[in-house]
Amino acid sequence: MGLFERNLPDIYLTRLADLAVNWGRASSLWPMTFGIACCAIEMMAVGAATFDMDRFGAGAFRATPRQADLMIVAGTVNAKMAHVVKRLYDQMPEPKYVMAMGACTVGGGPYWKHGYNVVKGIDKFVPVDVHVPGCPPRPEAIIEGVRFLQRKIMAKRVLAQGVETKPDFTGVSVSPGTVGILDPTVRPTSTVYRAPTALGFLAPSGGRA
Amino acid sequence: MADPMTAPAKPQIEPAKPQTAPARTLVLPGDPRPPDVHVDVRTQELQINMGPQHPSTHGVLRVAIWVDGEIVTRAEPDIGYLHRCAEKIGESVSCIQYVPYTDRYDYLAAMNNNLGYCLAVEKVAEIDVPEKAQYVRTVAVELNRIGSHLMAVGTYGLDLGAFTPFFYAFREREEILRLLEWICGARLTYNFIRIGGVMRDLPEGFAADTRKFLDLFETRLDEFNDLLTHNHIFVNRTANVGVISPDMAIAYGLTGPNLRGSGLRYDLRREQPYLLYDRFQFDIPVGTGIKGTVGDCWDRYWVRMLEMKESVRIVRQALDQMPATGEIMAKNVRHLAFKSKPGEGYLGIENPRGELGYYLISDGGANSYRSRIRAPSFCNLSILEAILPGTMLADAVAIIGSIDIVLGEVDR
Amino acid sequence: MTAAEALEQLKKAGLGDGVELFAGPKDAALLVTRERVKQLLRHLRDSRPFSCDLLLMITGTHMTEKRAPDKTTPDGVDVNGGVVKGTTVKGALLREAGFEVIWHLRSVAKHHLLAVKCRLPLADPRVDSVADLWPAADWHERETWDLLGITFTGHPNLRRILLPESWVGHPLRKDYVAPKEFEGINLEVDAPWPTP
Ligand code: SF4
Repeated sequence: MGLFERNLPDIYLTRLADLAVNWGRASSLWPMTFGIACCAIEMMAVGAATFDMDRFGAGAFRATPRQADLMIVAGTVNAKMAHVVKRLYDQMPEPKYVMAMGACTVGGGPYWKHGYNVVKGIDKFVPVDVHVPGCPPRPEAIIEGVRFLQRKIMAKRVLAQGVETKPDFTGVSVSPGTVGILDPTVRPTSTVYRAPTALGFLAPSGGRA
Repeated sequence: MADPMTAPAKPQIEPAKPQTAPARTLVLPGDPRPPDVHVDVRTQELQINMGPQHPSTHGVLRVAIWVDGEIVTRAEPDIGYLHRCAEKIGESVSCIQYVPYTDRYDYLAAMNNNLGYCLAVEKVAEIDVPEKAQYVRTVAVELNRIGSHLMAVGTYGLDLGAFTPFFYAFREREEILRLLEWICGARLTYNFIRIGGVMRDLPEGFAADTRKFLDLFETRLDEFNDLLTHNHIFVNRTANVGVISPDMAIAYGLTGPNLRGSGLRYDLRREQPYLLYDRFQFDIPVGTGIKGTVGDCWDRYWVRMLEMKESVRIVRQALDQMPATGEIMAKNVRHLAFKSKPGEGYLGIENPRGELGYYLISDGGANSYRSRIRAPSFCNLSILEAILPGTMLADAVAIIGSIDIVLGEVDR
Repeated sequence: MTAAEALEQLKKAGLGDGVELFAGPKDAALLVTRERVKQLLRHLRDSRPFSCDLLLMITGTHMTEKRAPDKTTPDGVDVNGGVVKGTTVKGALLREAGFEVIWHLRSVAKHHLLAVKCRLPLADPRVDSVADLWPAADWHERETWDLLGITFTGHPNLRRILLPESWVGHPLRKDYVAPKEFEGINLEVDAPWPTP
């Protein structure tokens, strides 16, 4: 927003403008196609038919960092890869967001002890907005991460001055993906999420329709 | 056209042929020169960097490609962007603890990796696995093989610009994942096959559901064939591209569908039956050059499609033959205080990508002294250097996709 | 064909010197001196009874010295009532320090698997490259150099393959210490997050 970035008086009009801008940003998060390891397969699954992240406005996977807003770092980052991840992050245009997907990117995951080559957590070199733990996280968890990020974006100030309010995360958490997965009598079915209504995440009570 | 199932395999060892010129070179109408002479003007050599962030390299492979105009003159794969210290970890944690790590190397065929490691440990530590557990393992492994091949063909379509088959493949794959999730609780990294047996018996109703799925799946495979396999554009982009001769395949250590795509009927499930594969009837499909030359990209793709059918057959037979009750874990394995016997051994199994081997040295402790993984993708990938030169740049994507690598396994 | 049969065949062909049988508790292998490695592997590839055309893998192991536990006799009392110090006898050498390199070969036509093994001294781990016999050996040898530091003489391009070019050390050696940092990237484990 250039010159006006957080530079205008904190009045109703600028707040309204912020809301509009944030709504635009939050509902069209374009992730970068950037899979590193096993987690990338779940990232692909979340883009495919069953889970369909497009319902949340985050399904347009772009192949180049210059068209993407969201970098989902899906997989183990090692010493050789870290520079590449950093460079990709630098190439993304503002505003940009990073999701650390999987235990590896959160803190080294299974490789934290004997992985001489593994970076134990990508927050050592890029700023991370959402951490999604799991090895790999279920697709539902990624969707949940995206929705956390959307709430976070909604709380941002774009034009108006002043202190940012804390994001409102109520109602974002979705129930665990499958019921009774360790109960052999229950066959897992994927939890079907209905997309929130178009303005769903604006409502304080959460977006589940 | 010969049926690929019944056509005899090519003779196994052929006299060495000189590498023929790439099949697709530009020929202008009325040009008297033989078709293997490049008619376009030579241009300045240009280096193109493909990856490590590239949608068609299936992960974090980097290939440095030198091109002259549109024609690749040299290619050099650069790997190691996903090196995760597999072998060091294999020495540092106990054999029991290492099983979940094996899931993460070939994450598309995690069951197969579990199986390979467990079989190798069982060989060194002399553990006998009960029959029922072996059937359960077979079912799990073959379902996983279908899932892995679905991923391979689905993303192969994606690489070549066909977006829809990817969704169809993933629809089927989700069904398989749900079945596997039912037996072990995880979608991708299963840790289901344990040293000495399996984690748990198949749940009630699993066999019926699996059969229902298999029936459906066979019809859907035909749908997939209509959609992609015989698609004119797809055939044009893959037939006669990236031809690997049988000699070359062996020299570069290719195994699995890539070797069979070159016309060699070689499958470890038949050569050295492990588990109970000698009790099942199944065919080993090989590439016969239906659409082009034997050993081209289309053949490798087609071998995977046919292998899925064979896996369906194996799962059906395993479900039929499986005893209703029985032990699922060997008696003499003490999981908390596991100690192997001293010794060393190599054991190879047929992973969806080729021969997955584990070479273990044990000096009698809980950890193995050395654990080396013979990763099929690692060996298969090394052929890129040899087959990319001379092809068009756009075909590089088709060739890399047809080799079906998993970078987790290449770099370990 | 087992390793023992292979050795018989080799002896018949007059290539048996320098080759012994390594009979481990599980898999057996042909143990060969390092001067003979390349000749033997070429023979295994080319001669009809073996025709080991598929090179499965090449790998190495760092063997640390292993001894039986030391024996100490307890302190005793001599005839005059003085104390006699007990003696310590070093345990027998069970395993010498050094490197082992192993080649696994498979014959596609004859359906057998053979392993060839070679022991190298710790100070000078070098052995002939077979990259000109099997193109497949190229990457395996690079990997073995990368992770273990075994030099393959005659390899056309012996560079690191998995680790970055400027990495220091060979991680699969048993005395390897993991670095704390690499080119500005911190590789240490964070302190645990404070619990809220
Ligand atoms: S978190 Fe687990 S599944 Fe994800 S990349 Fe790491 S090891 Fe693989």
